[in-house]
Amino acid sequence: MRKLSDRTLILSLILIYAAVFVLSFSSGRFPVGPAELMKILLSRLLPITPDWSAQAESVVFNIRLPRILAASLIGGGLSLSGLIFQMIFRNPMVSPDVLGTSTGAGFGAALALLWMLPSYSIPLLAFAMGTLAVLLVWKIASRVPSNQVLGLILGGIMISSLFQSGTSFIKLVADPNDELPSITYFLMGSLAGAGTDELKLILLPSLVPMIPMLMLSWRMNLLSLPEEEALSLGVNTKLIRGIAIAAATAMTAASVAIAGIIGWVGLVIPHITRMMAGTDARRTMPASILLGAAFLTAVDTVSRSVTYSEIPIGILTSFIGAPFFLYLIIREGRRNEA
Amino acid sequence: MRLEAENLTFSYGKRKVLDGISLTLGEGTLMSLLGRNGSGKTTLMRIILGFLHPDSGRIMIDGMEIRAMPEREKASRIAYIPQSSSMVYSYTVMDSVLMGRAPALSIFSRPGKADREKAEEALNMLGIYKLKDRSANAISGGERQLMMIARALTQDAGILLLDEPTASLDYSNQLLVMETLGKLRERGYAILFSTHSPEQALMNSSEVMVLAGGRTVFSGVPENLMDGKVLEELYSRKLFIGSIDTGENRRIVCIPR
Repeated sequence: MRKLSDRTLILSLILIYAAVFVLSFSSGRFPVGPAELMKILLSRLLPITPDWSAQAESVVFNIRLPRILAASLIGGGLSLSGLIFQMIFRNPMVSPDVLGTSTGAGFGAALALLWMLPSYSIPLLAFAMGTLAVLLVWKIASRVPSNQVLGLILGGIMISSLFQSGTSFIKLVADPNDELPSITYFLMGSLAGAGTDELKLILLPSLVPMIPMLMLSWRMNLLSLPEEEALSLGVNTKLIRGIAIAAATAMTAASVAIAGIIGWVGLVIPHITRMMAGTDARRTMPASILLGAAFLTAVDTVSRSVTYSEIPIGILTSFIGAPFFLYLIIREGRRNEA
Repeated sequence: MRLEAENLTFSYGKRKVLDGISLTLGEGTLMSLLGRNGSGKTTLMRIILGFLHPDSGRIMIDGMEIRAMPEREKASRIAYIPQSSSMVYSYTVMDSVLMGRAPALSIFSRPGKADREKAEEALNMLGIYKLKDRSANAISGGERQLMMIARALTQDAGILLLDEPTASLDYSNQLLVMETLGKLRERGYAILFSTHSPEQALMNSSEVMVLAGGRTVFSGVPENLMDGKVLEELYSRKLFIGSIDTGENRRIVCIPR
C-alpha cells in the first residue's frame, strides 16, 4: 500500500474534521443548515445583515459551538495523550484509561467538587492526581523489568481501582442533596454540561501541551526505541519523557475536568492513526489530534441527537472501543502465530 | 578518535564484575572481546557507553574524560549497536538510519535535506540503499545489523561498539557483517565488538582482549593466541588452532581436539 504524502494525509483529515464539524451543527433538535451556519459564524467578522432568527444565533454561539469545540479539544487531546503514552512506554496497548491517569484525574476532580473549590481548581486537582496515578504505575512497572508490558497493565488496573475506591468514598461522604448529584453526573462521561465557561476552563490545558509535543515529534520517535539505544543516540530520555508525561496528563485531566471519564478514545484512535499514517510521530501526532477531534465530535453528535434524552458519550465510546480492542487482540494473536 | 579506559572496576552489590580493566582503542583498530558468559563483556561495554558508572577508573575520548561530556557530544563520538534491537513500532529503514542524526540536532529540530543525504550515503556504502523504504521489522537479521551499522555511520561517530554483532545471524550474514567491520576499520574507525566465536576473533580482529571473571587474561594481537594456551584455559577444552591456506587466503581455524 502506498502511503499518503504528509500534506495529503493532513489535508484529508482536516477535510474530514471540517465535514464532521458542519454536520454536527445541523444535527440536533434545532438544526442549523451549513449555509446558515456559515453566515452566522461569519457575521461576527463581516458585516452581514441577519436573515436568521435570534434563536438560531443563540443556539450556534451559546450552545452548539462551545460544545463542538469542547468535543474537538477533548477528542484531540485524549487521542494525542494516548499516542504519547503508547510511545514513551513502548507499548501499543496502554492509554490514559489503562494507566490509571483518567481515574486518577476523576478522583482529583471529585475531590474539588466535594470541597466545593472554585471551578479552575477542578482541572488542577485532576492534573495532580492524574500525574500521581501515572507515576505510581510507572514505578510499579519498573519493578517488573522482565515484563514491563504486564507490569504497566497490571499496575494500571491496581492504581485505577485504588482511585476508583477513593472516588466511591467521596461519593459516600458527599452531601446527597447537593454535591453527590453533581459528582455522579460529572463522572458519567458526558459533554452535556459543556458550555462557554467549561470551554474556557480547558482551552489552555488542552491546547498548550500540544505545541511542545508537536515540536518534539521527531525526538518522540527516538523515545520509542529501547532505552539504551535512545541513550546511546544522545537523547535526554528523562527530560523528554517528563515533558511528555506532563503534557499527556494535562490533556487527559482537562478532558476529565469538564466531561468526566470518556474511555477508549485514547486507545483506539492512536491505533487507527498508525494504520493510516504509519509510525513516524511527525505524521501520527497531528493526524491523531485531527482524527480524535473528528471522532469525538461525531460520537457526541450521535449522543445528543439519536434519542430524546441524551446518551452519555462514555457509553457510546465503550460500545465502539471495546469491540475494536478485541479485534486488535485477535489480530495481534494471529500475527504472533504466523 | 581514540578511546582509552583505565583501570575500570565495577561491582553488582558484593560481586565484582570488572576488576582493573584497561584498554586502548585507536583509529583503525578492530578489537574483539572474548570471554565466557558472565565474564564482564557486556558490563564493560555498558560502562564505556555510560549506562553504568564504574566504581573506579576512568574513560577518555581523545584525552577528554567521558563523564564530563554532555550526552549529545558523547553520542557524536561513540555509536552503539546492540545485540538485537526490537522495535515495538516499525519505522522504515530510512527513518531508522536517520535517527543517527539525533546527536547533531537540537531538541526541537528535525532532520533536513543534508541529514537525509548523510543517511543515504551510509545506506549506499553498506549496500542496503534498496531497502530504504522497507519496514525495519520486515528485513532479515543480517540486513538489520547492517542497518544498525548504517545508523552508527550516520551518527558520525568514530568509535563503534557492537555487542555480539553476529549472534543469531546465519553463516553468510555473519561473514557479511564481519567483512563490513573489516572495511570500516580500513576507513579508520575504531571498533570494539564482543563475540563468542574464537575463530571470528582470531580471523577478523587486529587486537583481541580476553576476559575471565572480570579480569583481562590476554590482550594483544591474535597471532599471540595461536599457541592455544589462553583459549584452552578459558574454555577448559583442548583446542587445535591452526592456519590453513585456502588458495586465496590464509584462514585460521579453531576446533576442539
